[in-house]
Amino acid sequence: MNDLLHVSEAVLSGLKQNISENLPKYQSEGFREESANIDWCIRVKDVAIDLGALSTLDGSSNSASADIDNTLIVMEAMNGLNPTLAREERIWVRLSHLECFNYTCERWFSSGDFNEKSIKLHFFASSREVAQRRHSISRLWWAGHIAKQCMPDSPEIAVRLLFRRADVFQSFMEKPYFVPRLKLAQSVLRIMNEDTRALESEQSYRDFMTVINRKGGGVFFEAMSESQVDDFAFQALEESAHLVPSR
Amino acid sequence: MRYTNNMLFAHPVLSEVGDDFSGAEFNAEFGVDIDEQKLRITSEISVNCPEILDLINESKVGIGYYLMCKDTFLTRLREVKIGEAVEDFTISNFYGGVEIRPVIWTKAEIVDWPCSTLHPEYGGAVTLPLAALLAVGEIYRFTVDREFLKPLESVFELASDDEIQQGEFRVQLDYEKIRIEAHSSTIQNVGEYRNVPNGRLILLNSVYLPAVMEVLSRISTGDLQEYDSKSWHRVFVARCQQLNITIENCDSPFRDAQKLLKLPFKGLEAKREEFFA
Repeated sequence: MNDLLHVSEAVLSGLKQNISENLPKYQSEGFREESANIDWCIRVKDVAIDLGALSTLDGSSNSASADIDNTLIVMEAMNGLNPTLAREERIWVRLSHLECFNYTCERWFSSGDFNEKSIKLHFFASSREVAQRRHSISRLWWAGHIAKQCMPDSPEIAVRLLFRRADVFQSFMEKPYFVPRLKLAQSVLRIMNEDTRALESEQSYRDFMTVINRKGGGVFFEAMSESQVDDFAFQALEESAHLVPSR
Repeated sequence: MRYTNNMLFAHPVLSEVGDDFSGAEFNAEFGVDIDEQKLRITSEISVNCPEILDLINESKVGIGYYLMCKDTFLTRLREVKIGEAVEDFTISNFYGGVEIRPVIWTKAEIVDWPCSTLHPEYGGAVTLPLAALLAVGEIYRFTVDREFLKPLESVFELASDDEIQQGEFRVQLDYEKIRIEAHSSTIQNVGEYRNVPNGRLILLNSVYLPAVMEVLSRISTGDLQEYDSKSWHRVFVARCQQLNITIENCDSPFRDAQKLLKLPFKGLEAKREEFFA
């Protein structure tokens, strides 16, 4: 295991201000000459990560299957990170500019188009939205974090379901009030793992969510047993499945 | 639970915005105390409807609050006792804006529940389904400030000045961070000490402790407002307040600096065997 390191505030601010000046670096060797610079090497106390595992991230494909494999790697390699630290931009900026630079370029810049907007989205983690959905590594960590919350005993299954369809990832990552309804989110994943009708098409998942939202507003799922919430979600799935032929 | 003020329910809900109950009130006050390990929430929840109080005493309904942090996807429904209650949460699960919403919810279906404060249109009694919202209070909001969670060392930065002799340090307060200046080779050495086992402990005692003493001494004898626009100032003052250190009249910078850095020599003592092995 290795120390978790981050860049200093000054480095972060310098990188943000000088994206255009640094374009040649983004397009070629990256920032490896900075790896020993003390302002790039501030240690996070009591948190270790597995850089060897992170070096196996494969950015050659942007498929769901590749995102699943890479999420599982990040979950394992950065298991000691907590949610508060995971909102620390300087940690992610160090990783995407140094240890995970090649992965970031391959996964998000395969066309060679290193424009400033895309660099801000995939090399930096300046807001919650960017950190949880866009940053090359941070988004994988947050997907893993949600998977662990929803299926603590089998997070790998949750990761596979989250990335199965873009809509699923979107509803779990982008709607801050969905995952917080944890018992319901857990049940939705359990039901989809057993009955894949909601995953058959974009529309079928949307119909499932529409029924869940319509019937679940104001319901205290925390007061229900797991099987009661599953019954609710299954009935919503049944109802949504019957919506499809009528359209 | 997803709830908005304009949401309609098939059953009565006691709230500030509705009139399903007349004369009944559901009130809550919250206090928040944050340190590096935990978030402590003190709640004082009250309800003045006797029939709802009966349901609470019979455990047919739960009373408590939702704690929600969008930034970390966290939500917790915490059942508490009526009146004052203290609950602790792990601080590393929170970041940014946090909301607390007081609620009362049903734990089972309650059939033909008679209630004296019900609006007359309910006919004096209602059936409440399982997992239904019975009362909702005003949201209390607070922020888990990243700056507050940062260790005190994070308000310092190192800067090279080759006019200073090797091994000597100086402190500057006129920058966004408290600047510790030294010769470039000394700065290089500090960086190396930072990344070896126990090196940070040595730096804490030899560089940061005297630097904090210097800061305390200078701001207690000077104009405190002079630095209040600097980023370091907010963190430093917040940490002093948390530890009941009066900056304006600091009579012992040595004592207070040790307090702020959590008795740094204790860290060395704890590693004694490693040093003398």
